[in-house]
Parts: sequence; C-alpha cells; structure tokens
Amino acid sequence: MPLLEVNDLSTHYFLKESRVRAVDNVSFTVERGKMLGLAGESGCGKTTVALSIIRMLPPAGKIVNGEVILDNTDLLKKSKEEMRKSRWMDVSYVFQYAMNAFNPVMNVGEQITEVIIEKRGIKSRAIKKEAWKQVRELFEIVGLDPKRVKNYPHEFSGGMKQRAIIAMAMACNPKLLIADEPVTALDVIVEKKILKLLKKLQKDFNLGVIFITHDLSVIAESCEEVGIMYAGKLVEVGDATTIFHNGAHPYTRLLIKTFPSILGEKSYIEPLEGLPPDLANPPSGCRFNPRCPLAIEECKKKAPPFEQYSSSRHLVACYRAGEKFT
Amino acid sequence: MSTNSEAIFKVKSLSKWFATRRGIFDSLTGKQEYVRAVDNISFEICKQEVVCMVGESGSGKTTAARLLLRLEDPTEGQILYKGNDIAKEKQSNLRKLRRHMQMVFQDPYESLDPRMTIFEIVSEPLRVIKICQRSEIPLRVMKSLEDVGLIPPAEFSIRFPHELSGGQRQRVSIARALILNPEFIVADEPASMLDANTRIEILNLLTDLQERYKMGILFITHDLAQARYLGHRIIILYLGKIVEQGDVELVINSPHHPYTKALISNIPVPDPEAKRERIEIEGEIPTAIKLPPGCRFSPRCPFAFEKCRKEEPELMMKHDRLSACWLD
Repeated sequence: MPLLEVNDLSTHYFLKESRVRAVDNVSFTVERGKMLGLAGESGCGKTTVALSIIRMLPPAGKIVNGEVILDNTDLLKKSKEEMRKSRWMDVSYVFQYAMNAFNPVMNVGEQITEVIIEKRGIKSRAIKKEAWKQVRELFEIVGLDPKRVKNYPHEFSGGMKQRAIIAMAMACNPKLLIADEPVTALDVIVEKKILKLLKKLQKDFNLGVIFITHDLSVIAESCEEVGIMYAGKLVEVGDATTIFHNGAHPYTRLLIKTFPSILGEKSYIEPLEGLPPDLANPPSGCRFNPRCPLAIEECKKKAPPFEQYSSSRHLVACYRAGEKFT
Repeated sequence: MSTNSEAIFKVKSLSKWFATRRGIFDSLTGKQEYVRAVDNISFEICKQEVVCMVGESGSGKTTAARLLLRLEDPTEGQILYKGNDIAKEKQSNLRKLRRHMQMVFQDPYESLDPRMTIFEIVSEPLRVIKICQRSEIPLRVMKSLEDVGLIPPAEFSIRFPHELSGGQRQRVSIARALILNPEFIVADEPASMLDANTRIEILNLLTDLQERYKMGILFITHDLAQARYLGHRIIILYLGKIVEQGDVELVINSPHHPYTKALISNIPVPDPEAKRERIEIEGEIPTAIKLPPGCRFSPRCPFAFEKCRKEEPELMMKHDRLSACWLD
C-alpha cells in the first residue's frame, strides 16, 4: 500500500472567460521513504498538483475530479476543519521562495513553536516549554546550532533559512513532505547541502517526499522516482535510472537533452521547437503533438492512455513511446 | 577557441570597495569598514572571445561586470579599452565609448520599461547615441529584431513587454544591445531565470550572434554547465578575488584550486548513474567585510595548512592556467 495515491486528479482554474485545464487526469503514487521528483517547464501544472494535494489552491482553482488518498483516507473528502488539522500533521509543504516566508520581526524559534502549539490545540506554559525544547531538537536535526533558536531571520543566511523552514515543516512529524523548488534560489554548494539534508530526513523518518523542480539535474541527483509533466498532463513516470537512460516519451527524452552538463563531450544542443500550449484551449489528442517530431495522425485525434511500458512502475502516455527520432 | 589574441579589454588591479553604513559611535571614532566586493583583480578579454565569470552570489561577479562598463566607479585600478582608461574617462567620453559595449541584464521582467513598445525599447539606444539618420531607425530596429529571432519583426515591434514570454523578452534585451553594433557585450546571467529549453535557445542565440558579428562577450553566471556550453575562457571568483582562470575545458575537466574543485564536484548533472568525486566544504560564502588573514578561502578549505592562514597566494601561471593557491 503506497503512502500517497493520486488518482485521476484534475484541477482547473475558472477565470472570467476561460477555463484553464492546469492539471488533467494525473495519477501517481508515492511510497514511504521514497522521493518522487516532479519536473516540467514552468506552467506545466506541477505546483498545482502539489497545492491540490494539500488543498490550498488559489480561489479560482477547483479540483474537478479525482482522489488524493494519503494513508487510506481521501484528503479531498475531508471537511475544511479536518483538512486544516491534517496539514502539517500528515502532510507539510516547503513553499517556493520559502526563505522569504519568515516574519522578520519574530525570532525563528518562536515561529516554529507557533506551529507546534497550534497543532496541539492547547496553550499552556508546559506545552510552550515543551515546544521550545522540540524546536531545539529540530534545529539539531536540520543541522542548525540550537543556540540560535532566538535569532531573527535576517541573522540567518539563505541556506540557514531554508534549513529552518524545513525544520518547521518537520515540526509535527508529517508522513508526506512536499518541497516546491526548495533549492532554486541557492548556490550550488548550499544546494547540495540542502539536498543532502532532505535525503537524510527522508531516510531517518521514512518520509515520503514530493520534490518539485524544473531542474532535471537536481532530480537526477536526489530522487528515486521521477514524473515528467507537460501542459497539465503527467506524460511519464518511472524510477530515475529508467527515466534518464531509457525514457520513452519523446518529451522526456528531448527535455533531458536540453540540460548542458559538465561531464562528457561538449556538443551543440538542439532546443525543442515551439512553445507549450495555452491550457485554456489545449490541442486535441496528445497535448505534445504540435511540437512532437514523432507525431502521427492518431496523436492529433485521441489522447494516448497512461499505460505500463517497460515495467509495472514505468508508465508512459504516448502512442510512439520509445521509438527512435529520425 | 579564439584565434584573435588582440586584447580589447585590459583590466589591471581593479578594486571596488563599498563603504558600510556607520553608527554614531563609529563615526566619532572615525572607524570605517568596507565591503571589498572586487579586490585587486586583473584580467584581459580578447577580440571575439567569450569569457565566463563564475562564482557564488556575493563573489563580486556582477560588480566586476558593472565596473567594466563604468556603471560603477572603481575604487582603484585601470580598465583599458583599446588604450583608453575607462576608469578615468569623463562621462561625456564614456557615452561615445559605450556604443561599442552593451549589456544584457539578468531579469527580463524588470529590465524592459513596461510602458514602451518593443520598437521604442529597441530604438532607444539609437535615439540616445546618434549614429545614424532618423529615417534609418525603423530599418535598423527590424533588422535587429530579426537577428534575435523575433519574426515577423513588424508584428513584435508594436507589442508591449507584458505580451511576450520570458524568452522573448530576453531576446528584446539582446536586440537592444545589438542595435549599436557593439564590439563587446556583458551578459549578466541572461538565461538563469528561464526554463531549460528557453535557456538553451538564448545560449545558442548568443553564440550565433557572437560568431556572426565577431563580438566579445563577458558572460556572468553561477552555473558552470552554462559557462562550459558558451565560453572559451573561464574566470572563477571567490570573495572578490580571482582564484582560477584558464581555458574552459581545462578548468572544468581538471580544476586546480580547491574552491573550483568543490564547485565542480557539487554541481548536479542530469544523470543519476554518474559517479563523481565529492569535495565537501564547510559553511557558506561569508560577506567580504572582515576578510580572514591569508588566503580568503582558507577557513573553508579542506586542504588548508599553516601558510594558507598567514600569506595570501597570488594569482600565478601554473602550467596551463592561472591559479591562486599555495598547494599547486
């Protein structure tokens, strides 16, 4: 039984004149103690998937279909109050630009105790004291000096703030952690350290992690499983080695090629033609067909099913999966 | 590789120190601290050469680039552009020189005026520096837009920046820099805020234009993979100082300086199977206010020994590249 099961999730944004199909029939699972990397270009719907899971979509966003089953309970069936309790206790979220999420006039430790006390539901001196003790432990876990719990956010460097935000996300022992671009604004050396920290937490706490990024190299570095999204659809899922070495969907293969590497021979990189489609009016059939070098008539008519490909854990939505480019 | 070795820029002992804000007590005692953003660096850029300046945030790479175009006044040092010292040139003369050197900024969302049409944005340099007849302007704008791949140019020229995607905006930025036929462009992280595919498009465009118009480029980035894709030569900065400099392939394939080694071993590569040597270094880049004695990298360097903490190593020619380390 996987920790998280997302079935047929569709989330649309209802705007004045149009309906943007930001996420359409997306299904995937996350196992305990595994990290799933969700990748794709900006606007492909990866953040919308994550926000749908914790039900914190902006007002225009509505989940129109699907199930989000975390540990045998469907999060989408919970009442608002139940969901509020679930957040941080069952599933927590490290937001994009989280480094700027701290309140500058409150010390870092206090902001983390707030979460702990709020989730306990009782405010007493004993609880408060315990919360502070817990914050010190959390600081230790994420590699910060526990003596600095009373520091203000401006006294922390970028990497330290990111660690503190991760400490906050871990405050209530969640089962699932969603990290949305957690290393995007950081320098390489700090980035590597934060990735290491996330890996350690994942292992030590048997945590399921969804790691959202547009940078495939970061995913190659840290995730066991990879999901590639294009224009609101999940086009391929599999373990990291399969995706990077035997990716079957043409988009997966072309996307990986657009990342220059510091290893191997230096060669010219051919960019993908065209732009992602307007999701208020997506193309018929496979959404990638206007840009796909392998597209045939069938691709324009009917969207390909999301099916098993090379193994039971490797799924692809393409009629021409794995075929050679000419 | 650059075949033309004639230097267009010669930078000698360039420094930029920013004064920190002082409190009342400090101003009474006359104490003043400085952020040494760029600290005594020297390098050259040749004709038609792409030089990449790489470093973490806070390493002084953007300040160095801004100094080169005199967008910032240097504290000390010389910037010789074909014999003229830009560091001392008067503002009126600078304007004449600047037509030969242009800049592409990092953020395509903030570097274009939202109330100007693309035509107005791209033609502005021509209106400021009058190098051609007024009647010629539209033709030049169309050509420049075509050069950067905004086709059909007439259609793009009447649009506003908000109607364009990030990649298209960055192309407008490049078109604006190109319109004066510069000899040299400073590109400050022009592709860092873009998606992988758009990033490669912009890097390919820059390479293509550089070859076609025989320009020199100073490319500022924190991403070694981008530097390798684009550059001929690479300069690695740490806390305002050059720690290593040389041919891109040489430096990336066999780095000498421990800091370069650490950077390279920590950069993620798009291959989960890749096996690499890892060098871990402590902490994060400090601010350039109170610099440690000796080599400024020594407090974080895993190989540091006595001498490193006492004497600062000079940037010296070692075999096939320049490096500033006591170890090699």
